[in-house]
Amino acid sequence: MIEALLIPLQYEYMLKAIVVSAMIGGVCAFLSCFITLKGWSLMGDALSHSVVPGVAVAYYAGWPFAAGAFVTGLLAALGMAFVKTKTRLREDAVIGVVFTAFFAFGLFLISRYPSQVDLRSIIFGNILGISNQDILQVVLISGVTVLVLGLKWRDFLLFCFDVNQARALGLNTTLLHFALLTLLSATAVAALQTVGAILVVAMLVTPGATAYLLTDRFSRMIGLAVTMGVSTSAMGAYASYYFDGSTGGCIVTLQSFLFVVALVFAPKHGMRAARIARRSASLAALNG
Amino acid sequence: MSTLLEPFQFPFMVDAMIVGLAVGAVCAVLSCFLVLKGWSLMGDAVSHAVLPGIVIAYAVGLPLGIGAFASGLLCAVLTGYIKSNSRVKEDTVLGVVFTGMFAFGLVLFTKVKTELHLDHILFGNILGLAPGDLRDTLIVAGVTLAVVLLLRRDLLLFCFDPAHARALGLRTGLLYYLLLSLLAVTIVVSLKAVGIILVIAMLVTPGCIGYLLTDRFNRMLLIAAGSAMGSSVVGVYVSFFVNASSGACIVLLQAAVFLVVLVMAPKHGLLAARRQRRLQAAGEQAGLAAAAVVAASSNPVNH
Repeated sequence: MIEALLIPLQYEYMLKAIVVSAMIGGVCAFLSCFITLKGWSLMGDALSHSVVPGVAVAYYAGWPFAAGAFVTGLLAALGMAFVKTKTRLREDAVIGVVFTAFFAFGLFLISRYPSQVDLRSIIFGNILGISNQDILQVVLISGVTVLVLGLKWRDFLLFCFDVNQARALGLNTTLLHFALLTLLSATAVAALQTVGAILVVAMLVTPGATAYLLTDRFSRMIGLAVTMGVSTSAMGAYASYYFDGSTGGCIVTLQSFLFVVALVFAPKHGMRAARIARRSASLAALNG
Repeated sequence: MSTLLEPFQFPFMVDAMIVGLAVGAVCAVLSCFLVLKGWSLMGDAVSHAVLPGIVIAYAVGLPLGIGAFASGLLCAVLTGYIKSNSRVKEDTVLGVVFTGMFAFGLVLFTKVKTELHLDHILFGNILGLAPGDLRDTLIVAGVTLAVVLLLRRDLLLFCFDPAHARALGLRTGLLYYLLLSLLAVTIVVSLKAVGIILVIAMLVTPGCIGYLLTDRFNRMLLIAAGSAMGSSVVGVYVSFFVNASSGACIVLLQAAVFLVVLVMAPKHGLLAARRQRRLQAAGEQAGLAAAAVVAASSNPVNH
């Protein structure tokens, strides 16, 4: 029994996938605490889709995939900001128009010029077949993200929580805005490798949301989110051995499962706790 | 000339264009409401959440459309439930729910032996429609379109100002679920044409185009539907020649129309705004305060 469970670990590619997934999962979870506070879920979704044409072009041109992806991600973010400030359209509509246009362009390129670019590996990730060069890019992105967030997390927290107060305290909120957008694009690129363009947003939202249900303290929220991100990603990568290589599906299913558990059973903010609180309140009202 | 007419000799091309017209019209009309209501993310979420329903329906032997509709609606209902029972923000809840459902669909897909092509679900397969598809699409699209157009005044009021709608005696709870159901049906109908991912574009871009061009809702509906239907037909037609994904061609054309409108729209476009600003500046320079006031008040949109 135990031997059977250890089979996946005998393969080098599986070990590599588990370690790299865990790292990406941790970084994304770290960022997800800020994204959920800021209400940027749609932004994460949009950037991860906008990255697709960049990946396609980078493959054709022989650049590192991260460079191309990063450029189109930022272009999309700038495009959204521009259209939003210049027109009377709602922000969510602008984001929808821009990211679908970028994604369609990527799809157009890939379907028009089929080459070694594998659409599936962009859409669903391909962590089981990741090359050493790609691992290096992912490690670099993760390192920089953790460093920036780790050093400046108080500033980012204030910015996400209350922009006006951050500005009043003398923080450069424009800089913080673009720094967070840049980090978001960068991690979306890294996560693309593990779970693919469609599910990146889960890595960037779910751990933060789950941790938010479990604690009121931000430092603890980060710790919980990162722990969940690392463990679900490692376990998901391991489990994907049994699920036809659908790593993204396994990781995100696990993360959603944890969210549901927290939603129901969280000690203070869970649905069960709320029901108990209501019941004892109505009991007190009866007795009083 | 004969090369240009060549696509029309193939029945599958003609079918694809007819389906494109129908899907374009329904999506565009609905997109006007979504854009006003701020429900773009809802369209995104419901379209992804459809996947597990399709796989389960296939496994059980139900029509795929029913499974897709049910799981799309489930996503919206679950989101509403979780949002009102926890302190997590709505956009975050939506993100958690739809990715969870999509991921679950993917995992199911690896375990259920199907003849479905994941690529067709994701990106559509308008050039490979099955025999009954054309009829089914036309019927469902027609009914949806009729319901939306008949109830457009109520829906418009609901999207624009729910409190006002309630005060006027409209049943906003009912309208909420009606709009959600219409959204889910529309997404299901569009899946064959453009797939899960690009249907979001069909549900957002035409509405934005209409909104930039006019201030009147009925006209907005017409413009949106016209631009979407045009893009669909031309997109399918172009994809025949450039040999690229038809869904991508349709959406790229819509995006191109949006760009043109963004720049050139007579009142709300970028050029109009610049002209207005220049007029204003000139007025101030000449010391004609009155002219500046007129220019500013005639253009309340540019703040």
